[in-house]
Amino acid sequence: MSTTTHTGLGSGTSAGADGRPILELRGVSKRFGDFYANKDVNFDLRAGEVHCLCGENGAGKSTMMNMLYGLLEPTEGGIFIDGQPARITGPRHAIDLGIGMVHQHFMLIPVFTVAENIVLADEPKQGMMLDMKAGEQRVRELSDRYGLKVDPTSLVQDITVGQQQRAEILKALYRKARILILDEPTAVLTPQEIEELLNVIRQLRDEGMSIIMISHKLREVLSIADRVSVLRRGEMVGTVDAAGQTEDSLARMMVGRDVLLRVDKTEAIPERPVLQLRNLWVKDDRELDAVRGATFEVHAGEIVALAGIDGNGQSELVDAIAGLRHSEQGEVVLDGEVITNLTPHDISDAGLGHIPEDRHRRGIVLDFDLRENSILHDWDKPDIVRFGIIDTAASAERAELLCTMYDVRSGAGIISRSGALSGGNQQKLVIAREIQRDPKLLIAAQPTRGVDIGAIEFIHQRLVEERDAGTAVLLVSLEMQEVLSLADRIIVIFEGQIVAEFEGGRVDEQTLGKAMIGSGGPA
Amino acid sequence: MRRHFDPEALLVPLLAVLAAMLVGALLIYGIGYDAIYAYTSLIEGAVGSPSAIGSTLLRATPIILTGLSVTIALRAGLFNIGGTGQVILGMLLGGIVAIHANFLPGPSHWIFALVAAAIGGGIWGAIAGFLKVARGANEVVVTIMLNYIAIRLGEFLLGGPLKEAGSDNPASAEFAANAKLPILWRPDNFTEVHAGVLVALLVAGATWFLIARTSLGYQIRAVGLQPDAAEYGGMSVAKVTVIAMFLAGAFAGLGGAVSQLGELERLQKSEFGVINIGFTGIAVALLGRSTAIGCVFAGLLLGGLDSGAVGIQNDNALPSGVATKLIGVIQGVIVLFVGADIIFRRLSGRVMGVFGPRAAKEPVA
Repeated sequence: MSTTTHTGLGSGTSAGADGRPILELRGVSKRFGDFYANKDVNFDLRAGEVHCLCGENGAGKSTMMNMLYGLLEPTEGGIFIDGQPARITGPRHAIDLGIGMVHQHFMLIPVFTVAENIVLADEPKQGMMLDMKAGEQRVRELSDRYGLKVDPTSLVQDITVGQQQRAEILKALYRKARILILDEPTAVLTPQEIEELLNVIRQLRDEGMSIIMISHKLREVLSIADRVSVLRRGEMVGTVDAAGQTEDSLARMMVGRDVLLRVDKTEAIPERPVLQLRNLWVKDDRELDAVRGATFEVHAGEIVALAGIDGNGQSELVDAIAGLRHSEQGEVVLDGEVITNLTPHDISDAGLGHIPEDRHRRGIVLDFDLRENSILHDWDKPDIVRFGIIDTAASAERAELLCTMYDVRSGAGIISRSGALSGGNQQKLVIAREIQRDPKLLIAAQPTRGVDIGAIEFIHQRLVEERDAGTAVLLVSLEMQEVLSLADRIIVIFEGQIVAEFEGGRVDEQTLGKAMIGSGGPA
Repeated sequence: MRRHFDPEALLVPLLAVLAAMLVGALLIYGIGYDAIYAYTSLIEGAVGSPSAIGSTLLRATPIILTGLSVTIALRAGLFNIGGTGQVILGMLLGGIVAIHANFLPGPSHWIFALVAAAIGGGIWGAIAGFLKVARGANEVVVTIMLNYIAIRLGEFLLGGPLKEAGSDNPASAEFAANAKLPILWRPDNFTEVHAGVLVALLVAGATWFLIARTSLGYQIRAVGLQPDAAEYGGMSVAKVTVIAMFLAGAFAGLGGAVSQLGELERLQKSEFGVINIGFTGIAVALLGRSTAIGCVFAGLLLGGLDSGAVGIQNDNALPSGVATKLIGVIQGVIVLFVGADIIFRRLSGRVMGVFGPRAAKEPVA
């Protein structure tokens, strides 16, 4: 098996797809108040095909799937299964009709075993008693048959995210699903797990399963799909055969204009070192060593990407630099000043701009409006606060500035609740705020996670601009594509150690991928 | 900071009150009495005469303050069940100053007594805040335990150190005349509306300003909503937690002191076991939706119900003793409905999450 990401760009075969629609949406609309989440959508799923559904955040993909799963009822139009009109009244009904859904956020009970979760609501019984042995046996059979490796007796809380996802798929299979809906299944997976999942999907299709997969990772879509449908602002732009499509052509369908998927940038001109890590050791929440002796530098005027598979210490490393986590040993130097274990407040004042990996938890307060989130670091700065009182005119002005410069779109302008913004707009607000502080070092941790293609392009350009303005940029990313296109220098972290370093633009995916799983590479 | 007038914010508490009144009416009919007559007496007892209005104001004053106490803690993400203990500390410290600090001239005596009460309650609250940030002790448990400690402390002090010399009663000496709150209005010979009413309104206004406009209020809200984001923004979650609990305690301490220095002559041991304004504060804060202004209205409403119970009794609209119990039921049902609404919102928020980002964010557009 290839250890790198899905390199096979060829479209999936159409084997097994006999052209008969097993599921159809005809003229379906869903309205919330005055807002159409879906408008006059036509869609069909053929038996035995993988049909990918693409669209930007808020394009109406989830609404559409929730109607199929009986969680929402169409305002207009009809759903047809095997040519028969079906009014799906709820998930239970959807399951009875043979529709299984794997949500983006898994619906598993952490303290139950995998088998217990899978048989839940449809338990094998012997008389009055629950027959868990039979349940486990059945789960094992399914698991072997489809190559969905997971131990039925493990507790869900003890297994990886990838295994949890397999449990979710098994749950659908256990309930005899003929139609499987996968909502952004690869968003939470490592490159290896993605490859395994795609293989599982291929196998399921070959066994005759009909699959709808929601994704906006276009390479995956092209590698797995038989057909692709694109939604934009609630309306169906079109359905095309995957064969013959390119990333650019799909991106254009999604966004409605040409999108620059590659980043335009000139050669970096690195200057003085701004961030210096010397033998940094950091523990994770379980008190285990997550970062083990990291030593590297980031210079002014360059983008250094910290590449690695999720969970190899990146998050802990970034938190330690930002003062959000205690460093056990070693030194962090920011532009000549030792900042090891200072408070987040003092480190931020020393010149750190930090785009955190989890904007919903850290980057913004969801219930704050845009004015309030614009001043998240400035609650004690004299240009915003005087005598302990917030100058609301100044905070409004700040918010207006950020929104204008970074094209942050919101329903009600700067008084909008931040949680109501789309992911891309939330992220643009965070990036705007951090860059406007004119930092010496900008840490961008997964800056484009969960962000639309159009916004990704914009964010990448801002990061390059910031580099050109002489800021040291540390990019932490799980997306190999992003690392390769943005970084001037790439350092690879594996199990908490820096295991390799590459010049940007002088390394291919295979080599980088190998280094990320800890096998070789010039250290 | 609420930007737009949100009719729902008003609707739910109003519906809760109406529903509770309905439940009360059913109960009254159930025991064979006339609900309309009882409610007429209730309303008359609450707002039907200058005396009734005065009595409502007096009852509302301390619970507005304890309501603000619960509110400021809730805003910081803390549940302050320690109102009772903080009220008692306020009464004790305020009382000691009121009895002994005779050197304070004129009105400064009662002002300093109130300040002492706020500090006493504040420290009692801050202890819980400190134990939370230093040792991870849950503030709910700690504040409840501190309530009992405060009750026993008060009983001990009045049984000995604070007992009036030469008396057998477990009560202190009388408060100095200067330490009593000035009387603003005497609707009749028995009802004296004191300056505590103004104190409560002042503190409510200050709390609104603090939450909406100040840097500290901003930090309190950030910590209450998303402590991780507050930390990322450079705030000290620990410091904010302790300060918020100090303020909560201070407001409750004031609540205890204003009714004491406005209505009583001396500290009495018998008072401590029956203080319930701390707990009523929770109802006020819930009904007032954790806003300063909401607390004023919720306090007036619950104070009015209390005062109305007397009206029912005077009119013999219900058997003796039933009126106060009925008001207790009505208050309980109000809290139940308001609380159910909050729980329902949390749940529906979670369910709406499933419907995708668009649906979940719909209410804004």
